[in-house]
Amino acid sequence: MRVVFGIAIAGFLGAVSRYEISLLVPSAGEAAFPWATLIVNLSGSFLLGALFGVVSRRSMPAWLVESVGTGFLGSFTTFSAFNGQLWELCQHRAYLGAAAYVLLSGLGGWLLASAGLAYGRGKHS
Amino acid sequence: MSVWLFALVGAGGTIGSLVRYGAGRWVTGKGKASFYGTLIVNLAGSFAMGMLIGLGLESVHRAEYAFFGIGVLGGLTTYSTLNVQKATMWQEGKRRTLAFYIGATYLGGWILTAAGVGLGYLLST
Repeated sequence: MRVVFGIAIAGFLGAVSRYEISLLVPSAGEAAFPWATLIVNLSGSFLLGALFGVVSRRSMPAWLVESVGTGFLGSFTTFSAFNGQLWELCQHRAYLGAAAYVLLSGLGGWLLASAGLAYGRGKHS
Repeated sequence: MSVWLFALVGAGGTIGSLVRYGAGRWVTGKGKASFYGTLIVNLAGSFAMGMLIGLGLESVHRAEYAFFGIGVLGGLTTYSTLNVQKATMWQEGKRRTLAFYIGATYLGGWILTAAGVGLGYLLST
């Protein structure tokens, strides 16, 4: 039950934080490069990697890991907006931007998740 | 209005996160690998996001889009877990699973977003 409450509250905060960042990052309209989503997806990937890295070497309560990982960071990052924005970029024939977006999100996020895992695991491993 | 939009985004994020958590529990309860849960919510969320785009919800109905698009679908889908799963599969040498996962996520997400846009457009006319 603690897990469900934790995810409910953290999911709220994650979505609100993502929305706040989208308001803070200036955007030049529909076909503009989606910097805000890229920032949340990349930072969220690093942080989730770091969380899992830390959990691999020291125990944390399961409800806390689920709340921060599944709740906050899961809700903070988004795949639906990524695909929606990719669609918009292609609609406006911004193919270079679309390719860059896929690479930065897909490959960059992957590398950052790896870096987060290594960082979280620490120097001991 | 601004605070109201934040509340809608957050409430949607709570719902989306809980459904994503439930989907993950359901999938692992069936004895399947946990990435299937992430794949299901990401594909379903991308299809629904396509529908919202096809319906033109973002430009016409700001509050509805804040709740369903940014909140529920943003909370339902996730990119941090996807990237950590990719990094972990790579580190564990599960190359075939990784290739399948990447293909299903990105190609499937793109096709389903396009299909959702088409359906949303049909429904709106």
